[in-house]
Amino acid sequence: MPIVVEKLNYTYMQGSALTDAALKDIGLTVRDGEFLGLIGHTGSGKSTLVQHLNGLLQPTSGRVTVDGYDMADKKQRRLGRRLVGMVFQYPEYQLFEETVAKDVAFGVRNMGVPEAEAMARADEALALVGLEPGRFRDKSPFELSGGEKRRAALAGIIAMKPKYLVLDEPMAGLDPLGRRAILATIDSLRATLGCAVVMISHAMDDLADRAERVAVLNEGSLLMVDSAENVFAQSELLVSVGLDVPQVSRLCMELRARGADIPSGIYDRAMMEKALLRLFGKGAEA
Amino acid sequence: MIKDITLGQYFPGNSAIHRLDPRTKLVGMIAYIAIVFLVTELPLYVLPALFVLMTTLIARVPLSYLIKSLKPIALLLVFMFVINLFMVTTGDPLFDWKFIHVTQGGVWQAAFITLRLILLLLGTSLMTLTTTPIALTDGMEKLLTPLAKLGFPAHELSMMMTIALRFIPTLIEEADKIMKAQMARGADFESGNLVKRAKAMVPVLVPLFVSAFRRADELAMAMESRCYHGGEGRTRMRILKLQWADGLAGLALALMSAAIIIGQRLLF
Repeated sequence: MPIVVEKLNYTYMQGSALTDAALKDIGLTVRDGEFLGLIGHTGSGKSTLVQHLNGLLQPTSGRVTVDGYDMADKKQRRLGRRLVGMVFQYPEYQLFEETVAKDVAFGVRNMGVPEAEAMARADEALALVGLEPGRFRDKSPFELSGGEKRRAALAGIIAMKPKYLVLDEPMAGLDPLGRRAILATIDSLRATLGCAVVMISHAMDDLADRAERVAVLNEGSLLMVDSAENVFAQSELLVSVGLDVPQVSRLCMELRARGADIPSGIYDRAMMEKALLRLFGKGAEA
Repeated sequence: MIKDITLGQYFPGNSAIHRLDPRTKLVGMIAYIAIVFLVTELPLYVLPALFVLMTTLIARVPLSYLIKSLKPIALLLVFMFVINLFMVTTGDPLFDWKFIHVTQGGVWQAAFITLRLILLLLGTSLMTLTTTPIALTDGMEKLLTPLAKLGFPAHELSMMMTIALRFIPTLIEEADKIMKAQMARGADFESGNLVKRAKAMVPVLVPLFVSAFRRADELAMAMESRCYHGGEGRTRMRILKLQWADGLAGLALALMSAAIIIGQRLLF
């Protein structure tokens, strides 16, 4: 069963002089096991939207259900929230326990899992994010490096074995090596756990490589939600709402602007290669 | 959630009252408090009340905004009124029923004390409504400068206040973020008894403290790299200067206290 968002509206500071409509009439479904990319300009409401997916924010109007659990209901919300693992921006700032293992197990213990099993699941999650349990288990989370902290925080969510993993700019502020490590972790998680992933990112290339569908937010409204091909095919539209496009798309746009005969809708390297070969008349040999 | 709290109650504007020197407002407020305590006869409260009303009108602060500042002490006001009403038993009895006695003196005293509290609060709120916290600390520093010669850390104190005020919204936002992150990990802040709830705050307080210290460290570094070395020899962007409006404000206060003193002598 999916996460269903229906006619969602959200207004900050309702009823005061500073009201600010953050989300307008959003309808969106997160399907089981899919990789959904969420893109939009700063302030377009991406973070606000994902906080509705596990009931941290309640819609001003509209409805959110997670596998049939109504997130407006307190009891059902508790059950629904367990299915949705939420990794915030800069999650390393949520670490608080004495040891890494205890911190990773925090969420699991809150679910009512016995101590011994919680610790076992913490070890498992640490291994999944590439922090060797034997070395990191008993360290203080405050001794870790920035990238390690981020992975430990990610492990804290993974240990809860969510059916949906929501990531709010998981690579923000990391160096290229750290970014690659997080991306590799996310890929291997999908392979091993089969969970659905909703990822907010400004790195279009990373999304173009992975996302099955992409949702585009603009000023609080859903501009489009479609397969990655169809979304990135509309590079001009994305650029017009202030978004970046994958590097390949940008190259295509530039080439087309200079009169090269390249079809629109190309966003990854393999497609670009074919198109270029065809352009130079080598399609047959390739 | 807690993000919706509005802190400080500055009401933006550019009226003559807003533009008054913060020193005038600080000293004026102390004078105003003294004047309110000076009044011993109920009818003379008309003067400070008029003063507050006039100032509010000149400042173009909506009256409803000013009244709202009474809300936090509404319960205290009612309590004070009731206590005085029943406990003071001087003067002619007005109402007698079993153990309840209300006398004229009681009514008078109750009205007197309640009105005094209301006027004190309105006057001080009016100052915070029309003065930015930064201007207030600026004014305070300037007023305390003479004491600096005696070793009183006037500049340090006002810098500390400025920084503290500046970081309140930041820390609230941060606390909100951390609370949400822990809630996403199944933390429960809303149920259980007091001990359980206090314990549930640990996962919020630890990261909040860590980040507060980190921010403090970063700020100190940023200030030092811009050559901050304390108050000595430091020039300011906004130089406080007394103007004719400040004189006028002082005059109004002086006239009011004179009127009260004379009124009390002649009329009562």
